[in-house]
Amino acid sequence: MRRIWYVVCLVFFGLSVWWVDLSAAPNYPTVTGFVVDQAQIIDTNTEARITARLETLEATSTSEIAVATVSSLEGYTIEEYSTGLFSYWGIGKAKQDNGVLLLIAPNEREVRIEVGYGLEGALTDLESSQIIDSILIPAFRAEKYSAGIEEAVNALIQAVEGEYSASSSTYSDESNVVGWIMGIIIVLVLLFFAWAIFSAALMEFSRSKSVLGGSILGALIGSFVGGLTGSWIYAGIFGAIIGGLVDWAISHLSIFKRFRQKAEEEAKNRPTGPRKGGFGGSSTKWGGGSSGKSSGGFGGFGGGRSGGGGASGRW
Amino acid sequence: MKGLLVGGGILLVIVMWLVGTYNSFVTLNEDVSTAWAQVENQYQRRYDLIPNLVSTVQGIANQEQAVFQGVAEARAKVGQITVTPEVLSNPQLFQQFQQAQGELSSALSRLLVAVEAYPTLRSNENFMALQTQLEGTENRISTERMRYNEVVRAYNIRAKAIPGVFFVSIFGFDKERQLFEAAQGAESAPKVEFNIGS
Repeated sequence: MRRIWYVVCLVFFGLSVWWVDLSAAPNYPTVTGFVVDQAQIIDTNTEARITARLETLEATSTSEIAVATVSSLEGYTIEEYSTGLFSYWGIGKAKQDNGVLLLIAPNEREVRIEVGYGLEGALTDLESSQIIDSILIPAFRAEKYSAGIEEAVNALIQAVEGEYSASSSTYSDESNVVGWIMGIIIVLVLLFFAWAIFSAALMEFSRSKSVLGGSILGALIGSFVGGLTGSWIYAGIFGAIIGGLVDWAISHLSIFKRFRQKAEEEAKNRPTGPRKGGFGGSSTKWGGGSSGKSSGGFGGFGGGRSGGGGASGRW
Repeated sequence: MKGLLVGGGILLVIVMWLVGTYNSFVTLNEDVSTAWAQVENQYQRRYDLIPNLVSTVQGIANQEQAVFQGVAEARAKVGQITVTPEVLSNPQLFQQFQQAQGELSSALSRLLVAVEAYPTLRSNENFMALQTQLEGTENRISTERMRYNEVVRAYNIRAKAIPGVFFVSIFGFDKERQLFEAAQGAESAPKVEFNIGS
């Protein structure tokens, strides 16, 4: 009977996570800095100059301008590609959405300035199209890629400068700190309770041969921890497996023999309330192995978004 | 003791699962509404832009009365449709909305194609500005429509797959949200060809 329940639970969990995300996306270049010259059309000196200027801009105003040249749009329109690349890289700070992407596809002879939500006022579609029509296209027709891009970046910086200032973002950092402290306190309190329950439960599990109890407790812990990061189902399943293994280990392996004996003893003269367990200090970490953000080589962009603002052109 | 623990554990897992799934439906629902608000926002932007565009063009290209009329009619039709949240789960209403917006799109592109014949207009600064704004608007609309479709897709998968399909009927969430599809005849719609490629 117990085994049937086990299978039912597993199938249910399995079904609820059983779909695959099939959304196709182009092969976007990896972010290595503010300038990503995949198509190799910007000379090294210019690239260094532009990068330095964009770093200064980011430091003083938090706005992020990215320059990307791609060798192929892979059959997408430049608008689709740039909107996708913009959100893939996350140009601009997450809350301000103050990013700009200058995308150049020399093989398709197309160019686009994509503007993040937060800069649509400072850099209007009209200004973007003027930068393209009066700076970029004439330069590109004359095959002066480096010079054109540098001039365009200067124009973009001029438009964007002053819209956001570095001091305004420190304010939100402060409120983040408060949030973090609160979060840590809550987690500590939870950990304390978890510890009490956990040590009592471990005692109990070590006396039985079944792994069910450990699996369920593992699933619980896993879902709790996973619930904080959003993927609690996976974390729960992961936790169940780990919990089951631990339960099996403490019930069967000889290295936990002393622990089992202690548990038996305590069970005989059972007082109520939580007791000290001799094992399991690192346990609460197990369920949490579900999240983790990777960041790019230069620290990455801030996670801003765009909504299709800006302008495109071809030469 | 052990039975109690196991029973309580199972109960807790089930309750947490229910709560989590319910909450995820609430989240998905809100995602769809937010994405939809963005789409509407951009449609509104286009709607507001049209009178300026028309008045600028009208002074110079007065002969194109039929085209102006088409734009005005399509705009009026769009204005008549009040968008309520029910639109998103009602295929018929949704199609109506889409059709009206689609007619406006094609009326606008006809206007822009007609205007190609007037060189003075094309070099008119005011017109160029409006032209760029209109392009930007169209592109924003398509971006927000794409994002809307993405969240609706996530919602629909969740609502139609196995545990979700019970949830939807138990808690009264929408069984399906409507996706944007290309308007009829969109593949033959005239292209706006000033400086926006492809």
